[in-house]
Amino acid sequence: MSERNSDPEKKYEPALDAALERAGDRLEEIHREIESAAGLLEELAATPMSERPERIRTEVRFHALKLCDLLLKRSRESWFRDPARAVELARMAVEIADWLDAGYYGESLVEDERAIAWSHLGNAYRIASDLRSAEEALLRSQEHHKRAGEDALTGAQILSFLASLRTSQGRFEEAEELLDQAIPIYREARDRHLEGKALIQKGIASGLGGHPERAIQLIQRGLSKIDNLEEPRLLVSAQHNLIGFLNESGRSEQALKVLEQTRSLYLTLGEQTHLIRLRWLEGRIARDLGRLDQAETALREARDGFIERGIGFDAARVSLDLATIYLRQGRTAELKRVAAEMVPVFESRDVHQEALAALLLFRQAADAEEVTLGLLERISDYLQLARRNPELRFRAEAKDERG
Amino acid sequence: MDMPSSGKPTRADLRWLVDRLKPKIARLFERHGVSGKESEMRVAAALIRLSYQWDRVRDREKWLLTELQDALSLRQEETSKEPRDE
Repeated sequence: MSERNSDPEKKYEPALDAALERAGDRLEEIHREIESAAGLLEELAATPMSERPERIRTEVRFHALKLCDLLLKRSRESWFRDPARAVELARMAVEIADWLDAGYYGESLVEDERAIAWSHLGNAYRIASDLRSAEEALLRSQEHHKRAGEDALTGAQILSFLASLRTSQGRFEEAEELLDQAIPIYREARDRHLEGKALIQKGIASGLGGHPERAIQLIQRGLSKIDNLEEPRLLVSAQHNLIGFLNESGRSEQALKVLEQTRSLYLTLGEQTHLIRLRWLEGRIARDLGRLDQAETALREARDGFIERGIGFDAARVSLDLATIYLRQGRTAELKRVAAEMVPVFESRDVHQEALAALLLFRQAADAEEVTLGLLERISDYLQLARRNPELRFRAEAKDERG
Repeated sequence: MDMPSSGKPTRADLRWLVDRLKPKIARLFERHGVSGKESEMRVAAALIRLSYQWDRVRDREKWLLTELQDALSLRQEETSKEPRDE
């Protein structure tokens, strides 16, 4: 055997050089795709929605993977600001992914892109409170993922979206199990940010599932891993949940301390709704520290802020927190007034019929002077989940009261 | 360690990546008895795929190596499944 062939590096050097040449030639086409994507997206956005599928089908220039990527990026940016728009953008991405040329991009890459597009559509549906469509879209995503050869990072992303769906459905343990599968994938891929994000997600599922102490540990671990500059929104959300779970687990002094340390973050990065949520959190902590006057002022301000912006579910939950103060203080007249005000205000908001029924039950209990802290807590917990899950039914009685 | 992230990979980015991984890639191909032509095809395909997913992948060295390892494992599985003449 020659010396050349006995050294693998030397043996494969010409092949690697040739591979680099081939890939390098393709880079120019990829750059062209990236540069034209924004213009193509604008064209599509300007096309009436009913004409888009036909244009996408017949005009090959729209069959571009980087256009699909850009649509998904825009969809992500719209998730919380405009959920309906997020669905629309992800749906366009799915249509485009459907027309990608497997002969040009390769079967595996095309199927992977379809999996990613469907998973984004699923998550957008979830945020828009259409959980059934979310489930179906995520199922389609998994099918494409299998056909693609199961890329690990795509798989972890699907697991993470599925976990969010399970959390919205109140299936917290399943959400945690799914994230337990995603976390090692991110760790293996040395993606600290996504690993941290998944830990935070698991912490929130755990806390909502009634384990605030575990939630605190997980969120703290997640916070130590995320890149604060990459997703400032995630940082605010993680800190907000951490403070909430600290307070919930009886560590209200510590919650207040962390809140004070985080205040500037809310002010710098926070949108108006973040600031209202901050006021709400302040009210809850003050209440649990026994500073009831301070709590009442903060909660009233938060409630009015949510009502002004038409955020019915949160306004209702703040009203229930206010009611706990009146109940503790024995201010029956105020309790009845808060209950009476809720129903007409929320009838015209984003609160669906089943949730309204829960609020009516609260009013009846207030009228009959039969409100308990347990009932207020159950309605509040229900509203938190029912916002994204309109099919969820309210149970008036506590679990341990059922026969 | 990884290259600075950018949405648009360049020829220099790909060269840097392959140069760093050259000994590992060569040993991997050698172990699997991959021909020069096949190795060119496999590395080019992986680099093109990585270029499309450039901003999604944080650790590109690890990704590229894993992509090649997985493809060769699959190839080995398929070869061992093929019926052989006795």
